Amino acid sequence: MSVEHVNYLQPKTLQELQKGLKSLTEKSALLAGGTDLMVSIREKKPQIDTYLSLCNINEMKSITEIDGWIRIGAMVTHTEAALNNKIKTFFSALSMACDHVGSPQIRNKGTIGGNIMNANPAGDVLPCIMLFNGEFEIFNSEGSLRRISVNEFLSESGKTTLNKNELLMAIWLPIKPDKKSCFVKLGSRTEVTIAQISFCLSWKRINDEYLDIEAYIGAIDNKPLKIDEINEILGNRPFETESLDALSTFLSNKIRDIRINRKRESKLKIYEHEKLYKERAVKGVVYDAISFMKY
Amino acid sequence: MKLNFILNGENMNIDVPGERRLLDFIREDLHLTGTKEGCSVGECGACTVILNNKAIHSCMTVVGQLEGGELITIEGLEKNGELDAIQKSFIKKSAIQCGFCTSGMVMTAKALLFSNPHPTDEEIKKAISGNLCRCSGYKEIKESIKDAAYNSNKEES
Ligand SMILES: Cc1cc2nc3c(=O)[nH]c(=O)nc-3n(C[C@H](O)[C@H](O)[C@H](O)COP(=O)(O)OP(=O)(O)OC[C@H]3O[C@@H](n4cnc5c(N)ncnc54)[C@H](O)[C@@H]3O)c2cc1C
Ligand code: FES
Ligand code: FES
Repeated sequence: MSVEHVNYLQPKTLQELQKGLKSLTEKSALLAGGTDLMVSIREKKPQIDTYLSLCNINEMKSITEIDGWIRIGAMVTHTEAALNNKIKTFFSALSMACDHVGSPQIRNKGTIGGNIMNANPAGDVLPCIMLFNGEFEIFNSEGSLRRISVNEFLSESGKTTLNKNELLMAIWLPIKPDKKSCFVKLGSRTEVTIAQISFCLSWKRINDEYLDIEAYIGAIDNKPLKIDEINEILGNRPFETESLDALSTFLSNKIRDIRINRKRESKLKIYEHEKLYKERAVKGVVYDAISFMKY
Repeated sequence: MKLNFILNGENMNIDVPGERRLLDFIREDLHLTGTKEGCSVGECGACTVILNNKAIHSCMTVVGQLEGGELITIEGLEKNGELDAIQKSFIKKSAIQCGFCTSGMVMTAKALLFSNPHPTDEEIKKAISGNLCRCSGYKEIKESIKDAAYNSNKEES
């Protein structure tokens, strides 16, 4: 890395942060944990003029409960999110997802905000935020804050809509105490694995009835996909083989359609039979995820 | 930038570019070469150090992120000429072959025992999931960590 003409800013207050944001150019980089950024710098070797490091902004590091919402600062690490009792209680899917991002070293450094802003289709956090109908708190170089929905935050192609003088300050999740949730990911190994398919699910259980089931499937398209039909498919018998197979077939067809309609060839160098892997493997993901509804 | 942090128990006050990669700073500026560089992209764990009691990759960290923190490298484990319990267990159980993964593995184990002094076999396996050993001595490595936990707990009680 060249030492010349590089600014390294590490603001401690929102005023300093605002000033820092104002000074950014197209060549600048916001630095959270660095677990994505350091890899891309190493691969692409861009000339960076300014690093704006977010690690000292207290407003971005806390998890708080406010008026029926949980506010999670963008600089909260995966380790902190996975261990947090409020997240465990009200948003198990997010806690489960964060508990399996990368390795312990990645979780100790990688942040919720960095994961969301990277907007990788295989990222584990965004499907959960969408499942819980979360909102995104955005801070800009004028020092103002606004909260936006996922539809405003993500473009059609799955990219984030923020400009270079804005950043993600926090995410807000509405607490629904009667809803339970879970997250399952399929990767090429059990630990330290990028999702081939991620699946998150929430439901309400009243006696033996399951209501209001919601689900998102990730890593199969450029952004997480809502499964609108899930209540209809599972009906009131989510554990019966017939229902599970119906959901598996439905998702398998969906993945196949996405594959067939994809205009751009996958960047991954994979064999023909590997392309069909997700369509077949989604059944295991469905069986795993639905089994969590028993508890 | 002017940087204040604690390195292996000693206060440091250094002027260094904030964006310098921590791994290069440790090896090239501080001449602490116990920390190894393997993959350089967060996959192998050879570069693991402990920052504020947590295992992190020094290849994915910049020096500015140390500010006000406490850094421990493999050189900081030995106290008054005596090796740490984990290092002793690695030797006792022959958990070292070529040794390239060893300092990262030991630092990961040390961070595990900071937060969880009585890890189960499953917890040990998960803790070292980001540390690769190409000589494939995982069995001995896991046994060493268990042994070190047992010995540290015995000393404390
Ligand atoms: C070995 C390895 C394994 C991994 N495994 C997984 C995995 O299993 N699942 C998974 O989802 N990801 C995984 N990742 C990817 C990565 O670790 C995570 O996405 C992590 O959460 C990124 O967070 P960070 O704080 O390190 O982001 P950084 O690298 O600091 O930033 C990522 C990008 O987001 C921008 N950014 C960061 N914070 C903000 C903010 N608050 N506002 C605006 N922009 C911002 C940065 O400018 C940068 O472009 C893995 C990475 C590695 C190297
Ligand atoms: S060198 Fe840092 S993880 Fe491999
Ligand atoms: S001992 Fe050789 S890599 Fe682990």
